[in-house]
Amino acid sequence: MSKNKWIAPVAVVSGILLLIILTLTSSYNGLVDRELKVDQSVADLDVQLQRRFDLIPNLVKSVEGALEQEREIIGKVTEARTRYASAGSGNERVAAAGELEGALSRLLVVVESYPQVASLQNVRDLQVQLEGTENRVAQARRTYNETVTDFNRAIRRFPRSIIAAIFGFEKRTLFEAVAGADAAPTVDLNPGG
Amino acid sequence: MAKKTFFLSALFGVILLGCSSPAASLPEFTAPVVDSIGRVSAEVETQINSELISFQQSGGPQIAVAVVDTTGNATLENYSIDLARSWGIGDKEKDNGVLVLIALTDRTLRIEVGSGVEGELTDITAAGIVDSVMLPRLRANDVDGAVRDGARAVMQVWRGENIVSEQIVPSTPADEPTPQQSIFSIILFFGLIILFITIAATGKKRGVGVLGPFGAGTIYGGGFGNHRGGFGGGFGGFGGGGGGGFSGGGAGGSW
Repeated sequence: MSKNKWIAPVAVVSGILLLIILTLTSSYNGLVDRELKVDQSVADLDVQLQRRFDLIPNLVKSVEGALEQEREIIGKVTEARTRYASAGSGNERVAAAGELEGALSRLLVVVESYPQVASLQNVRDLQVQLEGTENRVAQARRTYNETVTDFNRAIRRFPRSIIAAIFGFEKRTLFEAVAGADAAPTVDLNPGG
Repeated sequence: MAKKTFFLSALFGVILLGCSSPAASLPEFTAPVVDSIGRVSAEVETQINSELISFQQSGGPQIAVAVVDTTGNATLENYSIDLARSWGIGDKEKDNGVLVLIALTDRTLRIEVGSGVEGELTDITAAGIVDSVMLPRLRANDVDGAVRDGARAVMQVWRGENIVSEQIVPSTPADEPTPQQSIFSIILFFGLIILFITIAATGKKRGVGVLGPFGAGTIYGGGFGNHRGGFGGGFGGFGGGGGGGFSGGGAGGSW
C-alpha cells in the first residue's frame, strides 16, 4: 500500500513532463518546417532571377542593331546586369536586382515606341519571355514574402518564441517591393491595334 | 456540462478554421469549364467539359477554363495564379495544370501554365494562343468561340499540332469518348463511391481505420480512369488533381 502511494504523483509528473516535451518538439519541428519553406522560396526566387539574367543578352543582341540611337538605355541594362552578377549576397543583390528591373522595363518601353523593331518576330518572342519572367519573379517574391511572414509570426508567438530564442531562429527580412515591381510590366504587343 | 461546452467550442473552432479559406472570393471549381457569370452557352460548356476530361484521361495536362467578371483588386497575374493554386489544378507530382482565365469586364485574359508543362507550353506558345486564337474572338464578343478554341488550341499544342490562327475548324478530337464509354465511366464512378462507403462502414464496425483518407471529404485520384489526380473529386463533386505547382508561367493579354 505504501508503495502504491507514489504511483499517482509520479504518473502525473511524468505525464506533465511528457506533455511539455511533446509540445516543445512539435514547436521546434513547426519552426524547422517553416524555415525550410523560406529557404525553398529563396531558392525559387533565385532561379527566376537567374532566368531573367540569362535572357537579357539575347534581347540586347536582337535590338541593339536596330536601335542605334538608344545606346544609352541599352548600355544601362548591360551595366545593371553586370552589377547584378558581381553583387554579393543580401541587400546589395536586392538593390542590383531592382536596378536591373528598372532598366529592363525602360528598355521594353523604348522598344515599344519603335513599331518596326517591336514587330520583329524574335523581338516579340523575347518580349513575351521577359514578360513571363518578370511575372515569375513577382510571383516568387510574393511566395517568399508569404513564407517569411509566416515564419516571422511563428517565432514571435508564445510558446514558439522560447524555442526560437533557444535554438537561434532569427527573423528574416521581407522583400521590399521596388516601385512598380509588384506587377509584371505589361507590354502591348499590338500597338495601335 | 463543462465538458459539453468545451466540446462544442472545440467543434466550433474546427469549423471556423475550416471556413477561413484565404480564397473566399474565388469561384468554386465545379467542372473543367467554370463560367461564373453565365456567358458561355450550355452547349459549348458541355462539349468542352467532355473534351477536357477525356484529354486529361488520355494523359494530357489538367486544363481548366474560368470565365469571371473581374479580378477585383488583384492584378490579373496574381488572381490567375491564386485561382490555379486554390483549385489545385494539375497533378501534384507532375505540376501539369493549365488555367485559361477570361475576365470579361476587365477585358483581360491569361493562360496560366503549370511549372511541369512550361517546356511544352512555353510563354511564346501561350502568347500565340492568346494573340491569334482568343483575342480575335473576344474582340468580336464571341466568348463561346474564345473558350472553345482557346481550350482546343492548348490541347493541340500539347499534341504537337500547329495551332491554326484566326479560323480553327471545329474538329472532333480523336479521343472523344463514345456515349457508351461516358455511361460506363459514370457507372464506374458511382459504383466506386458506393464501394468506398460500404468498405468504410464495414471497416468501422471492425474497428479498422479505413475512414482515414476520406476524413476531409476528399478522394484523391478520383473515380474516372486509372491515372493519378483525375477529375475525380470527393463527395463535394469536383476537384483538382491534388495541386500542381505554378510559378507564373504563361501569357496574358487584353482587348
